[in-house]
Amino acid sequence: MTISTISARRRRISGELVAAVVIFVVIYSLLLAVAPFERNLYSFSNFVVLMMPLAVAVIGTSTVLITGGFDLSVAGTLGLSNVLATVLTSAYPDMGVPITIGILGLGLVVGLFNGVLIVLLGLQSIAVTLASYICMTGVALILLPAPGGSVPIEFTSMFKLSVGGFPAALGALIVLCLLWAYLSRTRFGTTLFSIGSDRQAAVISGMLVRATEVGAYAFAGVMYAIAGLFLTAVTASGDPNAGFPFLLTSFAAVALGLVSFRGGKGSAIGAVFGAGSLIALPKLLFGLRIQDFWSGAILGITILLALSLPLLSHVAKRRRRRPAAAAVTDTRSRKDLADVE
Amino acid sequence: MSNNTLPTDQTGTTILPDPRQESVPRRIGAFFAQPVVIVWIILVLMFPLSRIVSPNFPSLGQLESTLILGLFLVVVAFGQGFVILTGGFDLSLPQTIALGAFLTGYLANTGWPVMGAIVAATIGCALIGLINGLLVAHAKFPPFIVTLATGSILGSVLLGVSRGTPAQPSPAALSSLFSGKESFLGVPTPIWALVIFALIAYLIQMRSTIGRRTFAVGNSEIASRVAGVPVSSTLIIVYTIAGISSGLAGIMLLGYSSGADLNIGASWLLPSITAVVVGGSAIRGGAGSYAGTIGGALLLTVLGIDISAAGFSEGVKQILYGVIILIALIAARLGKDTGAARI
Amino acid sequence: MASRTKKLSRLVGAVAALASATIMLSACTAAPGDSGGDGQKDKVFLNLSYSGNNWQDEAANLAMAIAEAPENAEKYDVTKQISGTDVQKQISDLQSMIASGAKLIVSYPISPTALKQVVQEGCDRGVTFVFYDSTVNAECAYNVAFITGALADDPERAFFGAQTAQALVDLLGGEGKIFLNRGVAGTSTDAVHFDTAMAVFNKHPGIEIVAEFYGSWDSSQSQQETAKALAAHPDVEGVWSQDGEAGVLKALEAAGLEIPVTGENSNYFRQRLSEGWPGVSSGSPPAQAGIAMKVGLHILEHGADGIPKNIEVPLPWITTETAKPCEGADFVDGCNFFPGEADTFVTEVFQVDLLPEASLDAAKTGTGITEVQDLPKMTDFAQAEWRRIYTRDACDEGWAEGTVTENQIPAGLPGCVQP
Repeated sequence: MTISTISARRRRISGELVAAVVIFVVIYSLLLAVAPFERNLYSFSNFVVLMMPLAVAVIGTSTVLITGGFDLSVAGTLGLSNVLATVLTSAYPDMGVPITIGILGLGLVVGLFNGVLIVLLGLQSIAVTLASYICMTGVALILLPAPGGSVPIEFTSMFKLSVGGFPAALGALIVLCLLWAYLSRTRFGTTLFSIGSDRQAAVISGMLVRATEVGAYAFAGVMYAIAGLFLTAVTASGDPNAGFPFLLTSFAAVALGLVSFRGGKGSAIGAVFGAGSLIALPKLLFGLRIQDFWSGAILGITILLALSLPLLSHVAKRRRRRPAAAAVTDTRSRKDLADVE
Repeated sequence: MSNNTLPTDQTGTTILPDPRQESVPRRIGAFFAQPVVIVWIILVLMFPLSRIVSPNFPSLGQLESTLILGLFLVVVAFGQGFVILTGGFDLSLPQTIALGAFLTGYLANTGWPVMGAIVAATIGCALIGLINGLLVAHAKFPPFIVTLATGSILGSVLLGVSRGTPAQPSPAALSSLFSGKESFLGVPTPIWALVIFALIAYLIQMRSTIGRRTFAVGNSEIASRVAGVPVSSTLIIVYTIAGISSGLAGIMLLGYSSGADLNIGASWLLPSITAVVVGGSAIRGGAGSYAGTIGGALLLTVLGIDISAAGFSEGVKQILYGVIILIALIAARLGKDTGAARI
Repeated sequence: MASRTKKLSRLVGAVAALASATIMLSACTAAPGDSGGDGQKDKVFLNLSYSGNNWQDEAANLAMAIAEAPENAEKYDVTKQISGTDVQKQISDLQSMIASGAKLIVSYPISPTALKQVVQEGCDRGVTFVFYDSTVNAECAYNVAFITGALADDPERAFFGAQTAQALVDLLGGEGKIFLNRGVAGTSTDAVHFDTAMAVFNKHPGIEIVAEFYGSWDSSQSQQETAKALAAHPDVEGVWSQDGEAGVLKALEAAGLEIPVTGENSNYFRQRLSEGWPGVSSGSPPAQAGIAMKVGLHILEHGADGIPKNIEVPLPWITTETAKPCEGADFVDGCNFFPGEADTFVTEVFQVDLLPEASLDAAKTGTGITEVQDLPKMTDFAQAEWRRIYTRDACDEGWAEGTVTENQIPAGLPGCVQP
């Protein structure tokens, strides 16, 4: 891993981020074009509040994905955070802040647990996080056997503040994105990307690979917990099954955010825009009055189109500098070649 | 991480140096350290251990139920495991199961002969697998998200096409074959189906050319390419086989329940991955054995029966499932470590 | 490389400018809740959770058939929307409907509590909400539900869970080992059924619950779960089941058992009842959705006078003695299932008082109702105040939570009482 490859990666990140933003802007502009009723601050504010749980969750999912891992615990932590927030705030309405901090701590602990098992014991990330997801679903079911609970308005309004019609949640999301942008430029961030693109090289170059990887899962855990709190604000109640849909939507959002599923490439900010696209798409289909059952098909096709964007740019690049094309191999192939040698 | 650089053989255990240099007890130790063997030992032990939860256990009825109910998981886990072997995932499995069940029921209802309907449905599911394979092999899309997308599209199309008649009844012949009411040589017919399917699947994964190529591709695509393995066509065939196995599971479920609606596959996605993992396969591909997957599938089934008999609440059940997966993972890991330590 | 970065940032700038311009412009031009010009038909939405099984499909079809009957089709513009099982998606869909100027939204709620806010916002903008089968706790919404419903000929015998539990106890003569086949874990409907059933079982020490499992209101899963439980308890003597009872019966048949079963309304269950299987068929009628649509359209047309907020659909009640196949496509001469339909087809597509115009064809295709009949006196179908806690999460004003001892069998269930 040399300076030149890192700067090459930087350049590619921005390309993918731009693509993710363009996808979102295209979908959202189309939505505004076909649905006049979406063209007001009220609808925009609704949209932002609604996308918050997914948008925050995918910051975590994509961070782990960048290290080359898969984190399925998103559904478990998010659901448990929702259930705990409901149960606790219903019982202790005045304790909103300590409860929030406690839940963030829970996310951290779950993330650390995942990270330690995966990194120190060398277990497979998808399997460990699947197991912890299933366990947390069980705990959620025990804590809250049926949807319900009445979350005090003081608690939900903490997450749904609106400043002059603009949702404060948007500010929170921007802060989280800036935080991520900052993190990705620190040593922690560089190490994250290095682990994803070439673990061996990262180890050899003396990076804190293990600690960083555990850190990625812990960071993700906290993000899922925050996402669960925003979900609680949106629904003002708890549901033991609330996390389940996020198991697949978070990965769909990450795909629309052009984060590489092979690690080492992508941006959590792109994933946030991916989440926005995923929330806007059904609204666009609604505006277009497309028959309901086609929505799944159009979602699938949109994901496939998003996947082929890097492919198109790759083709274009190759056309421009044909002689160098042979040297361009993706990181995975390089690793494989190393194996052969 | 140092262990990862060691070569591994098809069963996921570390290849040992020349066995003649190994003492007999060490070789026996290495044998028992294999994930496959561990899973099967636990599986066999589960039956007497079941007595803890029910005085009626162990019983012939328990074994019979395990094998009949295990059939579906053994079938879906084959396709999923085969794809996982290449380092991929098949998330379109639920919708492919639904397609298999729906097409068979629909065609048989419109007057097709049962065999014709089954063959047509299997071909339909193979096509879904083929599309997945093409997208993964040629477009180089990540399998996880490709199959998520194709599954979403397929589910949507099925819903659109089936307007008004989402549920399909099963042809009578299929029902009698898979409902568990009929026996052949004193053994219920679904158990025969299990044995036949497991044998064929084992031969495909562990003894055929395509099986060997799949292991090679899962270990290293580039190395396979260098060694002359046709990587793309191998991937395409693997996904097609996965499509077929999901389709067959759908057809069997249609027969078992003598009817099926479009949600029939939804409950099989996570168990299919769990069975493969518990069976000791590497989720990143390149290592695993179908014998282990069968063991994993049957272990999960018998656990389901025991947990049901124990009368735990749903929450406790979920926690138990999660803990068991973790234990299986750690056990497999420790087994691998002891194997490696012997070199 | 530098030029490339510049190009990208220029592109980002352009895109951002374009987007913000569009948003600002539209924010200024369009007033919130703009419902389009005059002369347009009123917008009506049918919003369901998932689709792809018989119950959801029949329910949606019956509602669509009512909305698209000629007399309604000329006045209303009806759109169907599937939200899936993700409550966020349902909130999003409801928001879109409200924003697009909906007058009426008829919906199957995924959560009893999570929709409260969006429904309240919709009501504030003049939208009428009618929910079917499951309920929501938003005060302004109408609920059309069977969950707390009573038998048509005996309004004191209420709750599906409690009534079927009592029936099973009676069939078993007060003692025996039983299974409970529950619905989807973690849902309120399952919880109400289960809690009220347990209130009955707990009064009968002779009844021993040897296994309790979740069949997820699905025939195939119920069959597998029952088969698992049968492995441990081949000596089971009865099964209390929610939807999915067709699978329970198939598992029992495979084990060679013909024991009393109480369950919901699948065609196969009624068929076997009519052939002598001991049991009771009751539970959730898809007709509720058609009724909900009728109620909603009635409110648009004639106002909400005389329409109670909490409508209770009577419990169907078919026993071994009364199960009878229908020759044609109607419930006539007391017949109550359709031998030609699929095993998992849910037979309760008619409701004698509230949805007499329904047809088998309408339930299967969503069309074919030519004339919608007027609603009967709806106050007759109002939910009793003492059962409110189960559907609204709270008691009416002047009522407090307590134990209901009068006017309801079984007595002693938690509910609302007047101090």
